[in-house]
Amino acid sequence: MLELDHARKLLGKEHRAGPFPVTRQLIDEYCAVLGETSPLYTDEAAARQAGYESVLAPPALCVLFANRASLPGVIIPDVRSSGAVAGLVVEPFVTVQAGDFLTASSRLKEVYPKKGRRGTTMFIIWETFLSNQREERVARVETSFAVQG
Amino acid sequence: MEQGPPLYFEDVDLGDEIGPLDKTPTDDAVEAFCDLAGTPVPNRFVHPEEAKRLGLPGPIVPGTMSAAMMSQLFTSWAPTATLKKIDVIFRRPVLHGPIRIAAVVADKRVEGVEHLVECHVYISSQDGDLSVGGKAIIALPSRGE
Repeated sequence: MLELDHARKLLGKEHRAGPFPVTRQLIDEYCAVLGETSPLYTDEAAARQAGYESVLAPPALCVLFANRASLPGVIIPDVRSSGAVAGLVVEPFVTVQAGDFLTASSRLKEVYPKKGRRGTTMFIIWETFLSNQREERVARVETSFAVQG
Repeated sequence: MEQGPPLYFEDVDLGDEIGPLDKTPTDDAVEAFCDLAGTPVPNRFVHPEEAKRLGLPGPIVPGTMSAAMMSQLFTSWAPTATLKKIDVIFRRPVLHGPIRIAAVVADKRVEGVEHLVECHVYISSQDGDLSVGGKAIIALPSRGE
């Protein structure tokens, strides 16, 4: 059974990670894995023609860094071992391009139990804001984990 | 799905379908994605024994990868489309292998200076079962701008 009271003590506490470099190589590999072919993400010349300094990062790439931020220091062991991702929200605010550095600031936003046919499920909601080297918020990522209690 | 021509807010109507985008997250692709994400090993995405231990029928596609592929549906839609938000719920595990991603335009509205299109988006398996569902908000330019 999860320690609900203990989990709630972690609410709002900030976990920072980064800065993470958004390299051209990372964007290339990400696009290759996903089969992303949009020129703004894959073609330097097309990105420059559109007014950017380099290729853009696809909007969901920032999730890679959001997940890294919440890994350490969070004392709900079942979440990582048997919890399942129940939901994900990605809200890009500003374009990210190769050469940027992103910093992640995560906090435990909400923890609540929900009763269903299979018993009680604990929902654990993490919210991460990613900022670039100019301290602009570039994206918000919200990840919901469901853990059988 | 090849990227379409420039699209404007006025070109889109309620009920319009986007996609489908057929994808096949293979074992190798999922492993490569997990490497990029720094996913600890062993995990239920790459290792059959770990998936089995957790009661899954086989290794599954990470939720973050599913969401990334769903985002791609909109970035491929038109060069003028900007993804503002995607909000998905994972209903059942997505197994490695062929999947279909598609969306339907559910709402159109103007908020401030932004012309927004809201879509229902989903991933279905080869059998047509819905695995992931949610909504996405996309900004398009207006012909009047």
